[in-house]
Amino acid sequence: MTRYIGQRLSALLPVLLLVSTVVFTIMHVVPGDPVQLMLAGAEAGSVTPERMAELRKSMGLDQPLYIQYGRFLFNALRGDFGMSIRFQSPVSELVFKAATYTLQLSVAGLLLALIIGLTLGIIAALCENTWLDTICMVLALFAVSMPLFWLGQLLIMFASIRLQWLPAISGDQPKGIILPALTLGATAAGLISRLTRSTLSEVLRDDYIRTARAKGLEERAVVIGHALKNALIPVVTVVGLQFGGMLSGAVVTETVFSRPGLGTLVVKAILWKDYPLVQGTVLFMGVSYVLVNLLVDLVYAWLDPRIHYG
Amino acid sequence: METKQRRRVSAALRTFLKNKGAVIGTILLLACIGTAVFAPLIAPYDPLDVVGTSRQAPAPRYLLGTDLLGRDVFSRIIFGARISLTIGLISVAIGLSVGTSMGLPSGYYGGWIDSVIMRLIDTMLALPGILLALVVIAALGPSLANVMIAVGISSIPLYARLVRGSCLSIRELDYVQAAKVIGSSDARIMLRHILPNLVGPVIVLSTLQVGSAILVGAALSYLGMGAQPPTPEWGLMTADGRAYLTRAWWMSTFPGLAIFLVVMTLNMVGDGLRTALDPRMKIA
Repeated sequence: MTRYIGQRLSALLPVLLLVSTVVFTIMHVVPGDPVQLMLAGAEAGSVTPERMAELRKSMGLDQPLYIQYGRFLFNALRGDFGMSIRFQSPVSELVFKAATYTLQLSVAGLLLALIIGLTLGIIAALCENTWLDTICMVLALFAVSMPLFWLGQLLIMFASIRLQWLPAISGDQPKGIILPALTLGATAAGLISRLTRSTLSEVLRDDYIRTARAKGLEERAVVIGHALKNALIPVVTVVGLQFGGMLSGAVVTETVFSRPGLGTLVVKAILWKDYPLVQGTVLFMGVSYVLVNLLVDLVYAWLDPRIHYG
Repeated sequence: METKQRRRVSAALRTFLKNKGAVIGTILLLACIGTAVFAPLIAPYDPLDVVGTSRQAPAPRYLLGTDLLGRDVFSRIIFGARISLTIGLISVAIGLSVGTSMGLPSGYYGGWIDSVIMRLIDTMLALPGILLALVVIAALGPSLANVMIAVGISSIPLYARLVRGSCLSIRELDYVQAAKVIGSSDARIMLRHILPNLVGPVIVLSTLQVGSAILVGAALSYLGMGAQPPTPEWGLMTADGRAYLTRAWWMSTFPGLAIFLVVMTLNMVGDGLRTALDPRMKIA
């Protein structure tokens, strides 16, 4: 097991390095002078060549590219991603604050996705080839085909405005997270329900299940005690991938519901051309995703020893 | 085509046609493609013309109402089909071509070529979903063309992994080993023996990816990173209607519905193809 962990970690490092390289390159691929962008809002006359040179020097932009890259990496390892052009405050502060909101939303979304997805999938598998199965799978199809922003707006229209059940703008009340979480988790719920249905219905046909039934075990004990445990192993890996789905979906969901978070932050940063902020946010999201996947892989290897002995 | 291949194809076709969802999906998909192709004949108005007053409710004259500027929503949705399908097709073309050219040598040669290419793929996969496309847009700037490039780039890793995986299993097969032994060049083996076996999984992935590309492309436009006004792109139209959810619900609802329906038909067809070609196929 330790060897497996070591293998996975050593594969991780080059990837993280490459991700940071890609992120660093954004700022230097973009046409236009970052210093000019920074001073774009200043009054005419205050933008002198001397001031631009000074700013350039303070940002380290007068150094050769490889030195800039080295400094970027060194600072990134210390958690220093520079200053946001727009907010004039450390990027790391902004990113960590936004991350807590996105984490809340992602956990809520994933939880809802698991509850809804597992329920639909189990019902579909237990009632295989009946109309109930068809309904569940059609719902799952809807869920994976729906654009998140459209679903979010529909939920706002009905649950919030027409029926007045739930608030649209989250604020700090716990109720405010329900609609965004539902929107965010919808696609994942669809995927989880399809996966659960297919693995569970396969497992239910296995010999050891027939044995358990022949032994006279109650159907409920058979399903929960034996079938479900084994059917859920693939679902665990999907959960890791779905965290990435949460990060990706948060970009749109947070915008629709006007929630603060990494999604809103990265979109605004790109639109404002605030490149230090773009770099910091993207790097943070990429690294978190890679680490979460590693964690999930390790959990999976622990659950199914065949993986790391193979 | 050899007889064995022909028999496989007709068997797959029969399975596909027995699947009700797949058949319905195919019919709807053809209708959608037809709408895009014959848009000027179907749409009652020009999508960019102001034809009525602002925010008129759906009526016989304007089937799905008018938008903020008074343009006919129905006509804009019809023409929007062209844009969405183009985004889907071009993105898939980029992903397919680059992804296959990465996955083939990676799976065939193995060794350090495989390691290097796989690290590149893992890097692209480190930014899930829309994030990678966002990064590309950040570098290239917001525009419809850049959306197609961005979404195309983000689908490269899926193709690369699929092709590599298939390659790894196929290269061990006896007839491939035999071809190597008699001295066939690597290129010939890859083209004549390995590539034909990839057609099935690649078709399935591509069908599903067109839907995915349409979703991501629409989301990027919704966020203001893609199509710019006055383009009748469905995501952009949904965003435009966001401030009028109560007073002019048709502005957002119908473009979003269009996206949903097209993606759903693509998923239905893709699922049908997957079941027909190999129920045990792992796509992603």
